[in-house]
Amino acid sequence: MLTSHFDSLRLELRRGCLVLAVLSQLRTEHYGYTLKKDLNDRGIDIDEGTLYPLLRRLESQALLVSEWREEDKRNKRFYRLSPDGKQVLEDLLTEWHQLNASVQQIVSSSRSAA
Amino acid sequence: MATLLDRYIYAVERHLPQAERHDIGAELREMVQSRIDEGAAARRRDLTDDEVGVILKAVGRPVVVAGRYATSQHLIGPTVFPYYKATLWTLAYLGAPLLVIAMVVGAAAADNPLTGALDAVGRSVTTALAAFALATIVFWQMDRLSPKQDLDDHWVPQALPNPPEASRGVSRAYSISQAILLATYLLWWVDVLPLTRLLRLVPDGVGVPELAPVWQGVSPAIIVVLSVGLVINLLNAWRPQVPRWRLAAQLTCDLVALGILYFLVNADALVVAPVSGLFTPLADRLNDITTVGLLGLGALIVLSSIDGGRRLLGNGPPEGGGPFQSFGPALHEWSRTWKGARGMRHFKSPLRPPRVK
Repeated sequence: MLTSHFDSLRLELRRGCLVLAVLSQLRTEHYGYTLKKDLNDRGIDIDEGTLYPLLRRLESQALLVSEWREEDKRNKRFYRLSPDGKQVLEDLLTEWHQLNASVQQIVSSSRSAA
Repeated sequence: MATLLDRYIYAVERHLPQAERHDIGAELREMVQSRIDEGAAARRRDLTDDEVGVILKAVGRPVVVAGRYATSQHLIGPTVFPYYKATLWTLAYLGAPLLVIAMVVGAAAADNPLTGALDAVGRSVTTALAAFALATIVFWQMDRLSPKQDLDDHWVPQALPNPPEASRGVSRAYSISQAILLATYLLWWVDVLPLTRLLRLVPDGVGVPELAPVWQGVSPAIIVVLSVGLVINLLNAWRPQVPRWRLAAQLTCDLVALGILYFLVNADALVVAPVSGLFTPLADRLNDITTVGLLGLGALIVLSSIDGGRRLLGNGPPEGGGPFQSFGPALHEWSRTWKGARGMRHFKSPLRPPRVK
């Protein structure tokens, strides 16, 4: 039961973070497979079943733009941040830093009190 | 010869909305191909089908992978949603013939056949809504109680079906069933099959209702439409890859049939009692029932024409063959989806205590 609750809470915690990580990574152009590898290399474990639908959703929200292009004799879809996406990312990062600092402070003070 | 990857992509695409099907399929193909290439580079040889199968299993069951791309499934999550969707389609396909039967029975039993048929439709719609609501509640609960992981990890990528060779493929079973139906009707119409005479229990001359003279006028057109339809379906059964000319001929046939139906429905009477008297009320009722039947037939032909037109323009479903051809695949998909019910052992019953690890 505890494991199930942990999985569920972990999923919730990761969901927003993944969006932030994907948007940050797409400040430079990537196609799906290299994006996944880059995220994995940086410690963000994301499977294709989550990443590709997320990319499509972000594109439908006009935060990303994409184009099909040939590379290494294969057609690949390249994604990058749109102008709106850049603005949203900056706002999200500001929010993230504030939230992170606050949570860090709360966690530290409650640990020292314990 | 389709590769395992082709078969996998096809299996995913058939669960995706038409508009996004090829786009998502192409991107998915590129992703899986990248993994295959990476595996091949690491081994310095091409991967075997078994090794590709391992990659595909890691990517996920086609129906679940497609489900993750759905944009509106807030109540039921992507893991359970494909099973919910398959169940709803199966209910719809099973319900459609029941609705037709209910209409016919309702029309025959009521004083006014048209009102009877409409009442039957009303009751059927209420029942269908109740069934859909019940299915939604059941799957919503399953989604809440099941773990957020694929319900089935027992599927075998090598067992995925081949994609049709071309987008104008047609099911042999559908063509044969259509051919049998048309042949029977044609033989009855030209009086080779003595069905009418066998059903006539009373001698001639007592005023038993019979078809109105209006049918005589359209009889040659009916024979031509039935004959052409029969030939097309026999050709489809023989060569399931349907060329454009055959699609165009079928569409023309459908449109002519609609013209005939329009002419008949607007006629003063379709069934008449030759002698006024005992059988006149029966003739009136048969007249109404025949009108309802022709309208139903017209609706089916309109659906068939839309399907044929879409496939003629190249926008049709991957497997064509009439508006109801997907009934077979729907049931097949339902069984394949639920074949994974073995994976349902992961489903956590609220009545069963959790296993302590």
